[in-house]
Amino acid sequence: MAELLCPNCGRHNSKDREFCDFCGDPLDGALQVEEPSVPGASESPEDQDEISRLDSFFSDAESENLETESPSQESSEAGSRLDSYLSEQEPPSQLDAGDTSSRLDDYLSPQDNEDPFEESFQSSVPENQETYSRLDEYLGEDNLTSPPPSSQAQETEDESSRLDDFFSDEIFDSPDPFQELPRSEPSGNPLPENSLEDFSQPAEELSLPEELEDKLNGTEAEFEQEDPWMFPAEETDPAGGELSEDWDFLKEEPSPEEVQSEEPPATQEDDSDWDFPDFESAGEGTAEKEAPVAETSPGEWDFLDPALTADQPLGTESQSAERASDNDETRLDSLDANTEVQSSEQLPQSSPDENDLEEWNFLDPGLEDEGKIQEESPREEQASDEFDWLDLPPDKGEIPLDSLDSDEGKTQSGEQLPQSSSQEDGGEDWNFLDPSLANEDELQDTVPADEGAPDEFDWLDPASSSTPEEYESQPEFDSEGFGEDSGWLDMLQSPESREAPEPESIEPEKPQTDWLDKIKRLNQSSDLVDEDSSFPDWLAVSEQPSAAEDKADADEPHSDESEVPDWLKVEDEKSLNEFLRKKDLTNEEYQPQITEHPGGKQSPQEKEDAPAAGLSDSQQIKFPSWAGDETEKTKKSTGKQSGSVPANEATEPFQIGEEYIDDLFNEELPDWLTSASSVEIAPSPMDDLAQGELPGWVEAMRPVIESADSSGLSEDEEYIENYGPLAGIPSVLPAEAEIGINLNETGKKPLDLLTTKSHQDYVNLLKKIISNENKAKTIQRPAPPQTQRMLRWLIAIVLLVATAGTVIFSDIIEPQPPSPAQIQGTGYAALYDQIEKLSDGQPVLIAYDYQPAAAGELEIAAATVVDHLMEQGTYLSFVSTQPTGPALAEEFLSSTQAEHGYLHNQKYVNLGYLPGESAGLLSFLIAPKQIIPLAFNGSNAWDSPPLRGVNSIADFRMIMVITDDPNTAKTWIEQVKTRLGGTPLTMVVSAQVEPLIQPYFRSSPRMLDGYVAGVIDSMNYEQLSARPNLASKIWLPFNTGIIISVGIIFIGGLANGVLSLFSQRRTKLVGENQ
Amino acid sequence: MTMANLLDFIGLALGFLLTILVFSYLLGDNPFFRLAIHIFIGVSAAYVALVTVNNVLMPRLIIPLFQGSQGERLLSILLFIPSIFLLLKVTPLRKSGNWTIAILVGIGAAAAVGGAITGTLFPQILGTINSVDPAAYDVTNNRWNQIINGIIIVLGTLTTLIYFHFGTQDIPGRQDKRLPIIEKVSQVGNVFLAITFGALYAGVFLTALTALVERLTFIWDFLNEIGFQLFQTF
Repeated sequence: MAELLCPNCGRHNSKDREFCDFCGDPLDGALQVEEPSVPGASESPEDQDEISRLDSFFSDAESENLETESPSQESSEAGSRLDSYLSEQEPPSQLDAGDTSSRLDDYLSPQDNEDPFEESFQSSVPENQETYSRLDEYLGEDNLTSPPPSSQAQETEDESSRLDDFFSDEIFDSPDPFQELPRSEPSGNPLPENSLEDFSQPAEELSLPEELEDKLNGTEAEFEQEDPWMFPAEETDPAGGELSEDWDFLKEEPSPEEVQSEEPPATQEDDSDWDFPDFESAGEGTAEKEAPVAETSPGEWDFLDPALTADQPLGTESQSAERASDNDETRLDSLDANTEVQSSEQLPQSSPDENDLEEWNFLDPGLEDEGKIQEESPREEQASDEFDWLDLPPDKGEIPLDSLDSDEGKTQSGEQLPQSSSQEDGGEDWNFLDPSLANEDELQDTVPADEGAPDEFDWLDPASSSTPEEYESQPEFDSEGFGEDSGWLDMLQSPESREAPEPESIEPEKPQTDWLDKIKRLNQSSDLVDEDSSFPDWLAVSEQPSAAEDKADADEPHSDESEVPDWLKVEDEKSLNEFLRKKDLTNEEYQPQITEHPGGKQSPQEKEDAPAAGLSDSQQIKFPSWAGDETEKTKKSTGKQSGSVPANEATEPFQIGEEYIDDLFNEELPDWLTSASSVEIAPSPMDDLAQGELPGWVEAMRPVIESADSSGLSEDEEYIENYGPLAGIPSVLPAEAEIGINLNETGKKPLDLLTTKSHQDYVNLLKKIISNENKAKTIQRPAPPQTQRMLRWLIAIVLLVATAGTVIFSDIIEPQPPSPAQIQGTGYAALYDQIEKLSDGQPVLIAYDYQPAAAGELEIAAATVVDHLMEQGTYLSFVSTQPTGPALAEEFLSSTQAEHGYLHNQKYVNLGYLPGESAGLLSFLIAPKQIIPLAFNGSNAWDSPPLRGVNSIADFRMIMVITDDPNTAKTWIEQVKTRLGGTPLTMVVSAQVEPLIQPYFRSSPRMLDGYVAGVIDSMNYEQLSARPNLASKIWLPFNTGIIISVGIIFIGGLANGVLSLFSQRRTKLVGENQ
Repeated sequence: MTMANLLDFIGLALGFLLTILVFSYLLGDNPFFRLAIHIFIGVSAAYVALVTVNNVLMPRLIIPLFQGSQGERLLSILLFIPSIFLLLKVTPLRKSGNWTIAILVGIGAAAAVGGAITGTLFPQILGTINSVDPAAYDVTNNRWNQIINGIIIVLGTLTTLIYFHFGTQDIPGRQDKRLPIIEKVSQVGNVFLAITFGALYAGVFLTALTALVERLTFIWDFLNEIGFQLFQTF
């Protein structure tokens, strides 16, 4: 990939840069360097390629895609500074030694080397010198008193040098690392002498040096004692073994003696975990050790491949160089080579041509188009691979073991290894750093880091500690220095990950949390977020833990603290915060990654991000994971296209105009939609809009009508709304009910229907009725004409005098028996025949269903009939559907039939009142005993002689109904006659009922078997029965009254006719006169 | 004068007095007439209530509820429940008694309709048909009279029914009017209706005249009794 060399500082910049990322000078006319991409040609080109790719990785990829947040730039700068520091502090010979750490430094800071090719060849000098130099620099003069005893010790020095690198990363904990950068990097001026002191100062502040010193002292002591991990032939702790050749002994099953005598139990477990080097034999490993492989040669990483080790061309470098290369190899391959069996089984599949170049493909910027996660993963990998070995295992040394044992990502990583190793170019073992592989799983990226720690620097691993003191002292030692990996890794990591460096939980989540943190940071900066924006929880990507999490946190207030091992706790938070603050202040691109402290602490950067961080959580957009992912992708794609994307721009797709939010997310929208779309925007003028007010565009639509007349419309024709949102708008349907309509006005409206004249008349009549309906009418009672009153009195007097005179002065008329022709077919004659059929003791039911007002007539009419029944000796039973009927019956018997001596319950029974009219009557017909169990006087009627033997109404020999109501007569006929069978139904009715019951008698078959209607029929019946009774008594006055009445009617009619004639004649005469 | 005679005398005297009060209406509406009417209505209502309690509720509801058998008690309870709801008709909870009224009206209507069909409608139709059927004639009566009666009955029935037919033919431009033949036949039916109403009025007049004569007779009898009593006293 092409890069631009800065003419000022000479550093590599991506070709699309206009200004140097390091010194800020314009890159116009800068030399464009095309880095070789074909590996394997030689060792030097491979190294060069590695370096170039590292450079491109840190320069191009990071700077291009993550300009705004590229900590890689900083890391590269850090690396360059490291080299600068090292170049200043270390003798050139040591630098030329080309140890792994130096190479790593070169990789991480290729800009420091004007020509990375030169550095790649600086491998002839023993590493231990550099290592010790750096350790000495860090540890001081006291530590320098222990020179490396052997080449293995030199290799140990190399490791120590990497420790120096690590601690040199503490420069980032220095007050202002970027201020130091110009001093060291662009100009290459030597750093001040106290620069390393500055580097170590934070570590000292974090109380690391003592522990580290102890550790290093112990290490030096081990060096002096030829620590077994430094010397594989004598190693007793396989877990602590780092070098490949040292690990080869792991391929062999350790002898029981060795295990029992030398290996602690914890490391014994590590043996099983480190079975991956189960290469065919340790002898191959020995051969590999003997093979003089160049430091950066591809073959140096192939020691893991037993098949290739034999074919591996041996280099010409020294044994120490070989070991150094093996160190690197081991470090890197140990990251690849999983201790699990699966990985170990797949490792041998690696082709022999797989070399470093391929392993370092992760540094190829061309592979960084996989996404940000892929971009970050190499950095993490690098951090974890290269420096996570410095991440001392957590408490009690469980982390390395756990991470090696239980992490599934290891298996995946182990599976990835053979795939990557299939590549033919060098550096295959570095494929774990390949970003293309990093996107497959987060754990894949982090696992090698976990593996690297025990591989190379397990001496830092408490598990590998041979003594409990060391084991216990290491956490404190690691808590400060190793908690942050390294300075440039801090750039890549979020403070959360730094403060919660527990590898099992933090590192695998780092890729995800990073981009989420970025989103959140972008949201903060965009000022568009609102926690109360009613985003659902699934949309929320809040920095703040969820309610459940809060609750859980509340339940476990010290969960964070408990999760963080003691050795990871930062004792000196002040220095850390200071570091973070300054780092955030100086590195704007790094700011997005500073999100939140797990413990709720807020970094100074967040405090300074007042516009964003000052916003409440409710003002932060909370995106779901997918949304955040989309945002991330968008940002990435944008970043790829433009090179740098401001954080605010990345959130633009989620921005909604304030003026639309109020309109959209109002009450009309459902809650789910509102919650999904109510992205809280920064306060806008529309926020003050009171609910219920109309938007401006509605107000604009409203016509301005000052009065009804001005609109040109009369109120009668158009209805203008005067209330509500439609106020002022005419021709709208009125909301209120139209009550009180003026009927007159309604009637005036013409009918458009085609109507006839008659219809129109009806309409007029209806209108008249409607119009007069509300008018009160005063009815004037007309004064009765005097003649009418006199006439009424005259008629009354005549009628009374004639009738009364007849009553007073007349005698009882002897009835004359009617002729057979007169009685033929009459009702009374039929009734007479029915009664004549009755014999003594037969039950007869008589219904007294008349009102007291009709008693005068009906008593006269029924007296002779009942007398006839009594004469026949029948048992009489009285019943009435009228409440007054029983009393009238008793009175009737006492007044008219007293001579018969009928006694109650002896000859007759008064059953009393039968309620229910037709229904009651019907029920009585069905079950007479149940309906009327007792007599009217309360006696047991059904045990009396009149009702003895009567179980149903059909058992009566005759039923006679005395009524003055035609409806009652009809009810009896309709309800009873149909159920009587052969029992005759007769009636004594009023004269006014006769016209209505006569059809039942005249019909065939007869529904009525006989009847007596009024005084006339009664008189006829008396004449027929030859027993004068009341009818005969009143017959003369009755006839007189009839005659008088008829006379009056006739006279009245005659007078009316005469008067009419006179009126007509007068009219005629008047007409003739006129 | 015995006590019984005294009570009879008082009863006759009250009857006489009330009759005179009612006759006072010849002079127009007057308080005496109203007094007589109010007494009549009040006594009637009281008597009806008394009869209902003594003759219906007590023997058919209350006594079986407390003194009857288990079946009678159960039946009384079943009758007591709707009675309570029926009493609620005079309370603000009047709607709660609607279902009781509905039951009563429903049963009454069903019984009335059934009886009307079987007791009036079909028999009247059959009688009308038989009126013109010589085979159904009474041999004891004059045959021609029966034939004429039959014809009159059929004619009267048909013309009366046609009179109540008000259907018209909608002819545009013409006033809605029944067909001329319907108009003519309806006039015949109108004659039959007039005769029927005349007969009813005659019956009402005879009833009223009978009542008048009966009251005049009562007055005379009362006066004679009083005079007889007076004459006997003196």
